[in-house]
Amino acid sequence: MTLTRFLLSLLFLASLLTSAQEEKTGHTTPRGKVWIFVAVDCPIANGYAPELNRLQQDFESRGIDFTLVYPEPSLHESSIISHLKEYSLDFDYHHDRTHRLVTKSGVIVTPEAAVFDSNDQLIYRGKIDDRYSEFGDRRSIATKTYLRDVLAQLLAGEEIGFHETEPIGCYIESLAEN
Amino acid sequence: MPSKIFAFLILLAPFSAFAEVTYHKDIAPIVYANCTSCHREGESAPFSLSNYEEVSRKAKTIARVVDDGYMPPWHASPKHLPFQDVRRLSSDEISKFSLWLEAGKPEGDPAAAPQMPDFPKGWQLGEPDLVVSMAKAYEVPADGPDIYRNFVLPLDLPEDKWVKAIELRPSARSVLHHSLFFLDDSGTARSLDGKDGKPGFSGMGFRKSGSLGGFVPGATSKRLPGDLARPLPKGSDIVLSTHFHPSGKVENERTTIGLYFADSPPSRQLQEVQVPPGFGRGVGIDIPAGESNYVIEDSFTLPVDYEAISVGGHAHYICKTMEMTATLPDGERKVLLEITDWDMDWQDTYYFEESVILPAGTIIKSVISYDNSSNNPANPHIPSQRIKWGRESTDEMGSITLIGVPVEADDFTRLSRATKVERAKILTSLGRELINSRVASRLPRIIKSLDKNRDDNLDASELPERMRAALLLKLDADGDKSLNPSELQALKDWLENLKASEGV
Repeated sequence: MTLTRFLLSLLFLASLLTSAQEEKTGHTTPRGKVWIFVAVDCPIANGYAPELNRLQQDFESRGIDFTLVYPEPSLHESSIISHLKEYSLDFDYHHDRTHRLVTKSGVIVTPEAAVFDSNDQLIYRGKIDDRYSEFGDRRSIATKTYLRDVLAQLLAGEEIGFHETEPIGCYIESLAEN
Repeated sequence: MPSKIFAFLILLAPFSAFAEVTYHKDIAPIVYANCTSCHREGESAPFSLSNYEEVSRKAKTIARVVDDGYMPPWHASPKHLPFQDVRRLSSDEISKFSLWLEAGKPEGDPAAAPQMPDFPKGWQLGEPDLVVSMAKAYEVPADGPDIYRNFVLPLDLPEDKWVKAIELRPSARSVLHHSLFFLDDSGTARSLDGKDGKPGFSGMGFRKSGSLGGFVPGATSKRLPGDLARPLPKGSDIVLSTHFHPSGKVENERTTIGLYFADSPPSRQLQEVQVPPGFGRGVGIDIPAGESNYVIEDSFTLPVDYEAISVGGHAHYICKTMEMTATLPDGERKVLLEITDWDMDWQDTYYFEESVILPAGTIIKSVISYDNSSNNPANPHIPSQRIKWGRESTDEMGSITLIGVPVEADDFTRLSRATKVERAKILTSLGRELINSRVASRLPRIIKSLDKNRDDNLDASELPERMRAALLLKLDADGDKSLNPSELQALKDWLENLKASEGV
């Protein structure tokens, strides 16, 4: 083996490793995005904080972008920051003062998820899982993991049409009409 | 000019129904009277509802939860005897929230606003006579299933006390869901506390020597009426039996309670009437997996005239309905409590508006139903499993308890004895268990193996912990907390009689 051939094969190996790394850290184009609508004082939404962290941990590196959306217009930025800190939520967030994201996704409560594919098509809207079936009706363990399943399908490249589940939570108030 | 105004008013008339609903005039009175006592700074509800801004921010959610009947939390049916401090909205009040929303949540004229009730900060009944806190905080994880945990509060009281009321102040309001106050005079709870390395202990592995009621957020703190008070004998510890809901973040709870004492012993002693007794142990709750309508019932005949002041139920996750009725000797039937949508989260005690007199001979009957199918979202088991009576929250219990006094103070002993006989049902079920597990047929050998110090007596410490209290209650004729050979012979005879009578 000549030295040149050896160096070339090293370079080739290095390029393979880099692309694998890119795949892993999600530096490639996102394969989908999730907006999760939350509020600082909704007990149902807050109860989901640990699950939201797990979802981000499991899917962000595989190409799913997560954004927490706070739809309450009168919130102070400082309340959002302290809320993120209080519930250990290490997320990008958006304060949706004009309800642009609320309107685009059609969500009505917190917590509610909206999932878009890489073509920005809405493919899922609704519950994170089935722990709540009604106000006060709470399962201790989820039996249906709606959001997790949609993200797995999206990453598997499955053809998915839009579907939705009926969310339970604190209603997003309409913007005051001027 | 006036005619123009008149025309304008005529034009507006069809909308007046909407235009009329404003925050200050219509919404604030309902909110202040029913919501604000918990939904305010420093109290247990998740957000405040004490002014226009706060109520307006949650208007849609409020309209939905009042329409569902989820809020305000109140599970006793309003069709029967009236209760005190009712937190239930009329259909007219409920519809006002949606009308207000449709109208765009107008604030209206602040001059029309009702006076905000004078909600006390801190202790609701004023400075308590004794304040006790948990020695160490208990850590509640960010998520996972609900937690039931008991914490011992040693009191070391030098003398007997009579308790008019107890208040509880949680340190982590969002996770502490409710607490029951039990008494333990044996020191067992103390010895269990902290054994697993964390404050408190789980399960109900101690014999309750009494109860001081409970704390549920939303319930109004109140002193017992008249000169009534609950006994708190010296040497008793209070055991807080607390239910936690994880909130999404790690929280540390260190509960403080305040006790309010009576100056003198009451003229009549309180006596609970629990049907079925032992939180349902005696009726043998055993619910097959998938069974959507399992019903238990039991009744008790009052031996003396009784004055009932409050009623409350106890069950776990899969209970659906409960009803307690009283059939008086003259045939009149009173429904004392009906719950058609049991929710373990809101185990309240309901105080009758006026105490209910039940003459001797009245039959008190409880009927309790359970849904153990997987269609029941409250079912803790997936897929559904056979559920039996037990002390863990995923087991089941079921009973309804009246609290009251004999009309004649002298009747206390008779009433108390009758409720003790009633509790013997628990023993019958224990006996059945011993027969079925074939303990009965191997009794002499089992007694020999339990008799560690070989003195032919089974001392309390040698008895299996789970049935210690029940066996002593049934068999310890001389009250020395030990079963001597003749008392053990009585155990043998009892099991044989039971076997014969049940044809096992």
